[in-house]
Amino acid sequence: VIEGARLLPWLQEAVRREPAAYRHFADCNHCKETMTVENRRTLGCGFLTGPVGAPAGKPEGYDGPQLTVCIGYSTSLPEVIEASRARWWAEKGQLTVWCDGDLPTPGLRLVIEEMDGQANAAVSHSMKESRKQGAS
Amino acid sequence: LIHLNPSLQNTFGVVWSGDEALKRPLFFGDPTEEQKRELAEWEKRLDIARERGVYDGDVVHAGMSPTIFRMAPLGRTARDAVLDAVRSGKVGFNTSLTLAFRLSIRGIDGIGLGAESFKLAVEKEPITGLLAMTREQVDQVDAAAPGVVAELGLYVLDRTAVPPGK
Repeated sequence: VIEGARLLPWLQEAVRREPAAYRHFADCNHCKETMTVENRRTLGCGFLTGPVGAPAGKPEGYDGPQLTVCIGYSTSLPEVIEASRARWWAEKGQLTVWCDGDLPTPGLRLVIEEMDGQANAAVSHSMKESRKQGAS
Repeated sequence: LIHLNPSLQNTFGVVWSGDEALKRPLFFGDPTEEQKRELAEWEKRLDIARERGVYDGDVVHAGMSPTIFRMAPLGRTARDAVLDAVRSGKVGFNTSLTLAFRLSIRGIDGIGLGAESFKLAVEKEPITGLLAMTREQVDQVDAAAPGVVAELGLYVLDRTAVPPGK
């Protein structure tokens, strides 16, 4: 979950910039329908048992810990999606409302913090890249 | 197909690895290399089912329904109470797993304890001072499904310390 939380903002930025190139990583069903099992194995697909290759899909600019599984798998885990929704409410100071009046659990807080830090880094990287392209 | 979305905040369902509705390979005696590989593949399939919250025909026998344990992630107070009890030496590792299970469990669907529907009974747990499943009931659960309390207690503690998996 923590890996998916780190990578989701980067994947979202990558999909915004290059939707066609990242489609397989943004939609596991599409990937399963269009790729062979052997190709998925070389991409480090998390749905496969047995040996898989080095995980693919590391977005440009991401310098966090190594991926242990394909970015599409980790970022689509239910708890990563849950934390992404919770973060939307947290940004508005309404996390307790999202939690139905309860305090957020330590796990949820940690994942939101991680996601938030990486979201800032991903946007910052995108802006730098845009400036570079503008200057050239 | 059973959907049991895991959650960092809300009550979630999980299936015990020893449930007879699951397609866990069974071996007698020391497993061969091939059997070890088969077992590792099975464990990966169960991990995927738990991570995605989808228990399909890859993991569940056709026509069978596993028992579903409804657990809540431990909040800060419960987590700290368990960790403090361990650090202070009041409880050992195994008791800490039982404690985590008792504090986390919210319900059980389809367990064979004689009652049509399982009703959770709680009591004030003396070490933490928090409400938890009664000792009597946790003993009943462990007798009906030997090993489930330790396995799911560890599952809950793992998820509390650092969110699990990828």
